[in-house]
Amino acid sequence: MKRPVPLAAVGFLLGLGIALVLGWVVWPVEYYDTEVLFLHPTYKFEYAVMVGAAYELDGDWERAAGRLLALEEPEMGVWVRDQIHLAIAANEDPVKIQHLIGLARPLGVTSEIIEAFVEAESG
Amino acid sequence: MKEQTFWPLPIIAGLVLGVALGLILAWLIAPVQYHDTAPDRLRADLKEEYILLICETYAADGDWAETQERLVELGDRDIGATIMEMAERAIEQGRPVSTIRHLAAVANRYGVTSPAVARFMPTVPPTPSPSPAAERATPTPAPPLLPTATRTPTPTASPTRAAAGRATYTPQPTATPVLLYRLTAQERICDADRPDPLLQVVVLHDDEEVGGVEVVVTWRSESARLFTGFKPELGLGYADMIMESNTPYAVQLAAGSDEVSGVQTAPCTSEAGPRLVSVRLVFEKVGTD
Repeated sequence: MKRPVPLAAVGFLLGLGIALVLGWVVWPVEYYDTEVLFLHPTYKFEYAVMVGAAYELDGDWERAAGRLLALEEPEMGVWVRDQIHLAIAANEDPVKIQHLIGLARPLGVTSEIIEAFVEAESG
Repeated sequence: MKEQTFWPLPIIAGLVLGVALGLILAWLIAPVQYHDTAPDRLRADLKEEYILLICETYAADGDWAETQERLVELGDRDIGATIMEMAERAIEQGRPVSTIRHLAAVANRYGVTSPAVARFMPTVPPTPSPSPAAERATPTPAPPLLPTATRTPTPTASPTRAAAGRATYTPQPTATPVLLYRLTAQERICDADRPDPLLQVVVLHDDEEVGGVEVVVTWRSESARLFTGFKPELGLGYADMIMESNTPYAVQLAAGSDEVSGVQTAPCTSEAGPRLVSVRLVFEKVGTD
């Protein structure tokens, strides 16, 4: 046996490669107990819409704000406003947009687009 | 005598060490991070909060199709019973009666009830909310897609809707509606390779795809009948059609299934740019012919 160290190094790299493929691709760690903040943007939008609907139902802002906190958005007002803009642009269901607007008001955010939407919907 | 080492020994030793270190790295130190998960992956308590939100939203806007669509995302095959268990637990925990009612109203629509929870249900329909959203939401029960079918796919015990479109909280009999197929999954797919959004239907029985199943799709004043298995390269139990934008579709299997209404495409962003979402509905056989 002339060169055991290079052979061991080759084996090590090969093993490392195999293990990374197994660990990251074939059997990756699966998280079943995730948080709301890890939801896909589509579901985050749906979550916010539902928080707005529930707020509309019970008028409990503390509860609604607590639920929104789960999204861990650094600027919640801006995030909600952006979601409203995206929803209007995507021609989303106006009821959903209204639920979000219901959240934007206590968060103190609005925009010309939102005002124009509200005006168009009420007219 | 010269000492001889078996030559593959170092490579095997290196391999074992590499695999061990690699797995530690891949599973413990730097595991794959999922940032865009679906609600079915939520922690149990957050999932319950999500379910409660869905039920409260249903109480606010009365949109049953949307409620079903949201609940399907949770991947719970017995969601009605799960919600009723939550309602019973809410009683145990002394939570607000409104919470119990919102949960029970949705469980009832799945034909699930409980004597304990029924006690908390109002005997008169709730006053419609004066909110603008509720005023706009005027859901009406969709007419049966197949009036001539002998099976009744919609539960006869489902709550009637008040004039303002709100569900009346009438306690339901315990009988569960008999359906041949149940919707078990509803996925939204942003496919980079496909410019047209597809409404895809897959029919399964014991995890095997079932061919020749008639699927009735209605939208606006039009309807189409599809049969699974006409594109065998995509699966024996597969059928699809192209969806139009801003058009809600209702889908039901002719043999008797949940009616999935409000299915529609929406803009999405794929790796190849903006696309329209395809929707895949999976039905599984639960009854006998």
